[in-house]
Amino acid sequence: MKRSEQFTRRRFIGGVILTTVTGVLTASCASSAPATPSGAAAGNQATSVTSPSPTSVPQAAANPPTTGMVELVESSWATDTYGMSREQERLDLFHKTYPNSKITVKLRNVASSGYRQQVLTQLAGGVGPDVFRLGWADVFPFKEQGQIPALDDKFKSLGKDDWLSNPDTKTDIFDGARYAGKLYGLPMGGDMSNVEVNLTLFKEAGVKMPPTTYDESNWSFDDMLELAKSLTKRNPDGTPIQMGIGVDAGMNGSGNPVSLVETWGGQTLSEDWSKFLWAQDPGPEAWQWNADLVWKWKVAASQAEAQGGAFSYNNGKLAIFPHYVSQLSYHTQDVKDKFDWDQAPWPKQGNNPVKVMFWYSAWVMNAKSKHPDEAFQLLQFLAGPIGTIPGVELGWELPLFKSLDSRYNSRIAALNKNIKPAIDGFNHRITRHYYHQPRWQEASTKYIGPALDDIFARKKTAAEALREITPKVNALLEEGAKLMGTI
Amino acid sequence: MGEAVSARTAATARVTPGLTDLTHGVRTLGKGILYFCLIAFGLTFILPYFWMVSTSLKQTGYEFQYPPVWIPNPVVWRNYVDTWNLLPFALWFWNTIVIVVLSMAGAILTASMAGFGFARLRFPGRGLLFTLCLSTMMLPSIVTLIPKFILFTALGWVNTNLPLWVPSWFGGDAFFIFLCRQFFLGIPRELDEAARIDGASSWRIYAQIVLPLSRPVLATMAVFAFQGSWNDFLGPLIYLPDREKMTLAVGLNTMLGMYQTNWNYLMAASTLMTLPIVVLFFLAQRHFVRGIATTGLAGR
Amino acid sequence: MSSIAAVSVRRRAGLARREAVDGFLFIAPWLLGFVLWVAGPMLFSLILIFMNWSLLTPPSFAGLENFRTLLSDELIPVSLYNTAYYTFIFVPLHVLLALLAALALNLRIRAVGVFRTVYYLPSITPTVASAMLWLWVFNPDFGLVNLLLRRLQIPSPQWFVDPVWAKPALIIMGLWSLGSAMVIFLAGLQNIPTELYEAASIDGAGTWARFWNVTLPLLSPVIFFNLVVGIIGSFQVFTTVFIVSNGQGGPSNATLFLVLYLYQNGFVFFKMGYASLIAWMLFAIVLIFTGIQFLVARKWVHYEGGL
Repeated sequence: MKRSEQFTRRRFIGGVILTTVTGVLTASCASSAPATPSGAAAGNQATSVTSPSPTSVPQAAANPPTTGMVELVESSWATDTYGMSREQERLDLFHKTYPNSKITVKLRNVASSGYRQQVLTQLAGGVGPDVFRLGWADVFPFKEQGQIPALDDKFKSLGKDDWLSNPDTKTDIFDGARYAGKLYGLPMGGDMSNVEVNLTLFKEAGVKMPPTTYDESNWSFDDMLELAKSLTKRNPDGTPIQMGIGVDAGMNGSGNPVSLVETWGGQTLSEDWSKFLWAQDPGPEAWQWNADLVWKWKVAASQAEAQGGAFSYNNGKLAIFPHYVSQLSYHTQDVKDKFDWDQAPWPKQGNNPVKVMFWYSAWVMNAKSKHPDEAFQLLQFLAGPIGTIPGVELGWELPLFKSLDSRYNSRIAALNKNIKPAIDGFNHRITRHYYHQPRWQEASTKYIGPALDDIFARKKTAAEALREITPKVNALLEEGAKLMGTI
Repeated sequence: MGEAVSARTAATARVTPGLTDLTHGVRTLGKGILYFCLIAFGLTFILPYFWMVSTSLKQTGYEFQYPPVWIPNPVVWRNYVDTWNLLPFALWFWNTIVIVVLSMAGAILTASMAGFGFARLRFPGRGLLFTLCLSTMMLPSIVTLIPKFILFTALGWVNTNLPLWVPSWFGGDAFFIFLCRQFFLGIPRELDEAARIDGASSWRIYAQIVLPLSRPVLATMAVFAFQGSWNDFLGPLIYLPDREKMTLAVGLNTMLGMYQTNWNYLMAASTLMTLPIVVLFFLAQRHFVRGIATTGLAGR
Repeated sequence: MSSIAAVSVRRRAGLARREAVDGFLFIAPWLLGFVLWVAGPMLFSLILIFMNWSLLTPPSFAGLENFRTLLSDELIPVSLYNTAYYTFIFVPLHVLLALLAALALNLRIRAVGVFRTVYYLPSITPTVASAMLWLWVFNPDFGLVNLLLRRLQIPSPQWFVDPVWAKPALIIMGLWSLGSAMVIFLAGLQNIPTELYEAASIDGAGTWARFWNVTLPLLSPVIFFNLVVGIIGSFQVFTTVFIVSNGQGGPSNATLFLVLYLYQNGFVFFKMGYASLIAWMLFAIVLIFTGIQFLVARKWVHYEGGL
């Protein structure tokens, strides 16, 4: 064998090393090459979404000092164009409000499906965002783990700028994130139960229009059912053409299940937070009514029929939809003028007072942030009287400050929509914050959600299903109540 | 004896005209049925893509109509322009390509090496090590996510693309090693025995005998490696959080809103993202064509 | 005579040593990677099964508490059942269909490249897009599947919404992306030496005989590969279920698979120690099944090198 032909181990390893080195060089060139032909144009796109980063500061003449800049990372799950534009508007306001601030903000937004995992992983790895958004049930566990600091003292240090103790602030809304007297998160995107109505379908069917305010509201769940009957259209073989009413029974974020039971006169949790009360009257009755919409009256799409979004409200095939007030803002994007979209107040039941759930997600800050003062400055701004203006004007979040009530939904007021159910709803809100219960989410996912599935699939009656899960839910709630110190 | 007889029977069969016609007829019918089945199933297989492209050409707000609309009216080609302008597509494309090429190269090289070692070379502890290798496929990756992240944080690799391709240079994936091993086991050993008698080293046998014979499996691995890192979501999601460093798969996901998603744009982006793999696969599948065509199951 | 034997023995020993050294060098990159990125994290998660860990605070020792929870957790049997149901129906069907597709697409037919690409398409369509499509296809009222069933006068199930039919729907959805297994089979078919078919033809073997006596035995290592990988993969099925059930495992916990439950425990309920225990339980189960497969394989898998 000629030596030159021989494929030796040394040659082979040499080749591999060469390839690896080339690879690494290519990679490092690639990652440090802003001037790559394909990247250059798109790079501008990217920076136009984030705020100016330190390297591109020269063009931002408003912030002359390049030294001493502080870059904060902010995360939320708004990643769609509409969501990003809201976040960006808020940040622009921040820079306008604090023109000499040395803070630059980098948005690190992740779509909701991967959000939780990403934030948890980065926090566990010690590189979490400085200011971030949390689901309403997560404030407690994060606070328990010392991941997010209490904010009261920080607010006090603001002196005259401490808006939290200002009479303008609807303080009790903030109590949702208060544990043992201490505040850990600030509300974001406050939301409330309402009833969405497709007035075009109402007019087509020639039925009575829904009420517009809580004060004059005389409609009950049964009135809603009667309306739904005249608004449902099916083919002779039973396949749906148009649905009268929609069912929002998910345990995933929305507070409507609580609004339903409590408006019927029921209760959700016992005073000491350790007992689940939906199995007591009239909880089963309320849920059975909801399931009967689908099976007995056939005026609501079953979960099967609703699959794929065919009878979603924004498709114009659904007349009445118990939903939440923030959705109006989305209809400026996804419905526009396809039909006359609007909202009505939450209905009542018998002589019980109407009760609507009020919920939100929270802005929190990272207790391990390298720039705690700057992070708090940003945090209090995002949820404060100026930072919330874009969301309030868009109707995407409820006003947390009395002075902003008049601006609520102002940007879609021109479209002639009824905003009263959202503003008046405050007077009927449920003041207990169920997400205070640390095991509520686990109980919802493991037991309550599947039980509602059973009810809506006609596998069990509401009474059976709720009775069955109560001991299991209670076992979890007791754990939670012990953590809260109420039992 | 038996061989000779059967060979003669075969030869006789070939010269009997009636029989040939009959088999010919059966064969044509068989082919007809085959084509029918292939096309019928093919239609169900192409459905998702068709739906994806169709949705990508619909007007905003008209993506989910009932009854379903399969051919959009009007056809909105502009969605593609809008999608391209809306997102830093070219940048994300470049980010993805860098990672994909580097990890593909590493995986093919080191996985085939390990596969060769496990299939062809005897060394102490081989069985145990192979079991270890296989077993790494069995632990759900989601549990090692956090420890791995902590490790890469300690190395200072977070926010660089290193965690996404460097590990590929260390055996790629247990799946690939197993795949290579299974294929190398199927290559006749006589070939390397002969080479070894000629004094060839293991390295030579690997590079000049086994690899050239394994083109189908190398092509397969290339397609899988490409597909894997092209579509990888979790890795880039947690290691490359910054928008300007994102890959296509993660970038695509940012189009999903909590309440509102422009499905037509999302589908346009999905179509654009899928095209390169379709092209790659179409090119690579040539390597699966050879051999059997002459004497294979279809007959002559 | 004896000295010659001794020399050859010594030489053979030398060759064996060289082969062993080469062996280690060939697997060295993997071995190094195993130590660096796999063994460490795996060991870490093994320690975690004796810990309470919420991800964000340092783990604290819990002894056997997680094991006790596991034994009394009624969702464990539920998710085990769901996972086993899926695996044992899905994997055989999956391997069979992929084999059939590969056999058909290995024939000399027109536009074979186009057909192969089409059959491979579902495997590369981004999951977000394909999950949405399947929700449409299985829509009980106007989905394609039920439109067809109704035309054939067959009762049409409620698919993803019905706890009984949700798993079959997931299985059908999974079968549809048989592309990867098909490609592996295609590569395997190409590895069968043409001469063997020629020899069989000369022996007068017909199409079927060639299939049974040449194709199947020589393809058996690849069938075995697809079975093993299929079982490992389907025990860990996660992404599709996560999307289809919105991370909840519904309806009525019918699609609560082990890895989804593990994910919920680790990343939603902050019980990473318990999640690690579930992972190791899953690991043990899959290990046992794979071990059994390797044992049984000796009876039916044919290796060229084994002669």
